[in-house]
Amino acid sequence: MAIYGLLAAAIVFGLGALGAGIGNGLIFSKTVEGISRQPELRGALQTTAFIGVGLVEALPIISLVLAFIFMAQ
Amino acid sequence: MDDLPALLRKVSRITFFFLSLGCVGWIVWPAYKTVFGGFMIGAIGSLAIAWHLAWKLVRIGNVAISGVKPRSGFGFLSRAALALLAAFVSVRMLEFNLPATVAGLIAAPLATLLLGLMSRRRRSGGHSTDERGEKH
Repeated sequence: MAIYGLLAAAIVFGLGALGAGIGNGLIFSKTVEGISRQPELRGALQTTAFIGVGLVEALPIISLVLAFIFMAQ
Repeated sequence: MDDLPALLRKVSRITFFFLSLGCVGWIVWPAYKTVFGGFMIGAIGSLAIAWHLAWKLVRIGNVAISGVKPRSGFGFLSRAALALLAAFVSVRMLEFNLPATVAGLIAAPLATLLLGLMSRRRRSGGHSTDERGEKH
């Protein structure tokens, strides 16, 4: 039974981290690009990035906690 | 809303409101104190994650303007460790409810989503792009 728990933890956190990695990479590349092009828009771009990253990262953080629950079982 | 510190202050205020709701629930329904306690610990963890994210964003903005290569990364691992610490303290040390802790961990992202949607709606004036006469 323990092997299934480890497998579930790996799938949950692996897929969550994959999605978050792609999402964060897109958000931050565009933010840095935008700030470099127009530094006067830094405040607006940072605020938009904060909203986006906050939403993108909620899922992998929850999946991390769930993964440790599965591992403990 | 173009000011990150102002947005962070509003997110903190909404999360503190969730925390006060947890305190009220703990007092009114003492039988569910593990649920409300877990929610409060999760909300504190999510607030710490939001502060850390804002700090990193300001640093990344500085890096983008100055052009100096950053020494550290974007810091998802530290935020994940913060969430794990909140879950560990809540479940193992204080023996609170784990699903309530996970629900508390999405308090700050939920507040961020609500504030972002409100800001977007206010910026567009509640009208669609067609009504504003924008060209496609």
